[in-house]
Amino acid sequence: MLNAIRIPIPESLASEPWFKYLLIIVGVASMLYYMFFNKEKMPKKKHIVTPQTEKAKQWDLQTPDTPVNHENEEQYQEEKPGANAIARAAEELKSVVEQTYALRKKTLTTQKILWAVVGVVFIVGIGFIIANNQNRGTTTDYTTIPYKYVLLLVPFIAISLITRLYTTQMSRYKGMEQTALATMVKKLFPNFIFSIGKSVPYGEIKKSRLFPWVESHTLQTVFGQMQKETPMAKINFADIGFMKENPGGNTSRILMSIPILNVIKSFMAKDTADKQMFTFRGLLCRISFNKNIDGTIMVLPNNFSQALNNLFASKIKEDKVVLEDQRFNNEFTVFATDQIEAHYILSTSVMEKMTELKHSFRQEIALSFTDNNMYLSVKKPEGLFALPEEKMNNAEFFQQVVDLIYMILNIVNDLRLHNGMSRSKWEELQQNINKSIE
Amino acid sequence: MILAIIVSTLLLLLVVASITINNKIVTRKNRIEQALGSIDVYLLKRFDLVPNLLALLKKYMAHEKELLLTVTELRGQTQKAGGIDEQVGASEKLNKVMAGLSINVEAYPDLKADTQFTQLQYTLTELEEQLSAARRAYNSGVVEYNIYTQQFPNNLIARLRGDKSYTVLETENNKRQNIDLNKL
Repeated sequence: MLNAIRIPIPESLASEPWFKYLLIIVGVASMLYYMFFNKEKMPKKKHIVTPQTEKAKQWDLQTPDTPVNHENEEQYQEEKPGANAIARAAEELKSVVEQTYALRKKTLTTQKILWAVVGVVFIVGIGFIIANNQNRGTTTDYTTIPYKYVLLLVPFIAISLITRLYTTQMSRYKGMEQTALATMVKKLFPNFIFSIGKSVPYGEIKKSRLFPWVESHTLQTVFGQMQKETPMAKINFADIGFMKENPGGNTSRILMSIPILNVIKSFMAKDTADKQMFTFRGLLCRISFNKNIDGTIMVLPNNFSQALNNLFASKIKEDKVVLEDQRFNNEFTVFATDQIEAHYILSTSVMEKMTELKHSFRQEIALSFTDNNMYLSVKKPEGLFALPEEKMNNAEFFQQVVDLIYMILNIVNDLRLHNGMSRSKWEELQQNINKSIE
Repeated sequence: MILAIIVSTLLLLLVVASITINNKIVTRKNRIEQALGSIDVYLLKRFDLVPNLLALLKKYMAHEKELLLTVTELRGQTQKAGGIDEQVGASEKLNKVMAGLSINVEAYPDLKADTQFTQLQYTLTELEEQLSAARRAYNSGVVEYNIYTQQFPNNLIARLRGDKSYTVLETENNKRQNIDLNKL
C-alpha cells in the first residue's frame, strides 16, 4: 500500500538540498516528539463524593450516612424542592455554569477542528493515491523523493497536537461540569449522597436483566450516583454509559465504520465526543423495597432494537406474559417467572402510569423486579448529571433533574412497592407471620 | 413424482402446523388452570384468616354480636360455595359486608394497637391484592385463549381436541374495592 504512494513534489523543489534536510529534521523531530512528549493526557477520573464519605463510593449502601429519623418512619419521601429552592440554587451556581458552558464551547470548537483536520488528511491522502495511480507510467511534472514517507508524519503531528489540546480542554470541561453538578445535587437533594466516578458492579447489571448484551468486560462509565436509604427503601440512581455494540445497534455500527461518514458525523455533532460514543447512556436506578417478590419480572420496551437484543442475547428464560391493557402491550413486553406475580406488580393503574411515562419521556424505559429490588433504566443520551446540549436557563435545567428524580421516586408509590411500614417493622411482621405459619 | 413431493411437503407442513397450534392451546389452557389454582389458594388462605379476625374482634368488640354473627354466617356461605365462580362471588359478598360495616376501628384504640391485628390487616390486604392479580391473570388468560381458539384454523384443532371456551370472572366495579379494615 505504502509503495503505491507517490508524493507529487515539483522536481525543482525536490532537487533542492535544503528541502531534503528539512524533511530529515521534520522526521527526526516527529519521532522524538512521539517518543518523549506525546504522552496523551486523557481526562483523569475524578472521584467527587458529597458528603465526603467512603460509604458513598459503594453502590451497595448498607448503612445510611445520616441517621434515620425513626419518629418519622411513615414518611417515605422527602419534600420535593420547590420553585424557590430551585431558583436559589440556580442563582448560586450561575457563574460556574456560565464558565462551564464557555469552556464547553471552546472544547466543541477544538473537536470540530480536530475532525476537520482528520477529514482533510483523509481526503488529501485518497486524492494522492488516485492521482498517483492515474499518472503511473506517464511523463509527469512530479517525481518521487527518497524521504517521501517523512512527509506523512506532518499531518499526524498536526492531529496529535490538536488532540492534545482537545483532551486537555475536555478534561478541564468535565471537571468543571462535575463540580457544578455535584454542588447542584448537594443543594437540591441534601439527604442524598452524591458521588462521581464509581462503577456499578457487574453483578448488579447482570441481576437487573435490563442489559443482556453487557458483559463483564464491557466498558462502563458512571457519570454520577445518588444514594439514599430510608426506612422504607434503599435507593440508588446512576447516570451510566455502556460502550458495546449490541446486535440491535449493528446497522449504525456498520454504517459508521465507513471512515468518511464517521468523520462527517463527528464534525457535524453538536455535542462533545464523550456523549456520542455510548451504546447506552442513561439512568439506571435500583430501589430495594420491603415487599416480597419471589420471581423475576421484566418489562422491556417494544422496539426492533430491543427485540434483536433479546433474540441475540438469548438470555430471557422467563415466559411472555400478556396483560389486559392493549396500550401498555403496544409499548412494552413483559416476561415473568410467574404470571400472577406479574399481574400483582403491574396493576391496571401501574400499566397506565408506565404508558404515560413512556409517552411523556419519549425515551426507552425498562423495568425489572427481582429479589425485592426494582431496577429501572431510562435511556437519556444527553445524560442526567451533564449539562444539556443546548444552553438553557439554569432553573429550567435543575427543574428537569428534580422532576425526573421525583418521577422515579413516585413510581415506588404507584407500584405500591413499599407497604407503608419501615423495614424493621416489616421484618418483625414477616417473622411473626412465619412463626404463625409454623 | 413432483406431485408426490408437493403433496408430502404440504402434508408435513400441515402436521407441523397442527402440532404447533395444539401446543399453543395446551400452553394457554395451562396458564388458565394455573391462575384458577392460584385463585383457589388465595381464597382458601383468606377464609382461613377470617376465624383469626373473628377471634380478635370478639376480644375487643364483644358487644358487637350482630356484626360477628353476620361475618360468621357469610364465612360459612363462602365455604359451602361450589365452583370457583361461586366461591369468588361469595367471597366478594363477604368483602362487601365487611367494607360496609359501620364500625370504626378508631373507636377501638386497643384493637388498633394490637400487633396481631396489624399482622392480620397486612396479610388480608396482601391476599386481597394477590387474589385480584390472580383473577386478572385468569381473565387475560381466558381472553387470550378464547381469541386463539376461535380463530381459523386454530378453531379446527380446538374442535378436534374438544376444547370449549372459558368464561371470564366478572366483577362489579363496587366489588373490586379491597377490604378497608379501618372502616370496620
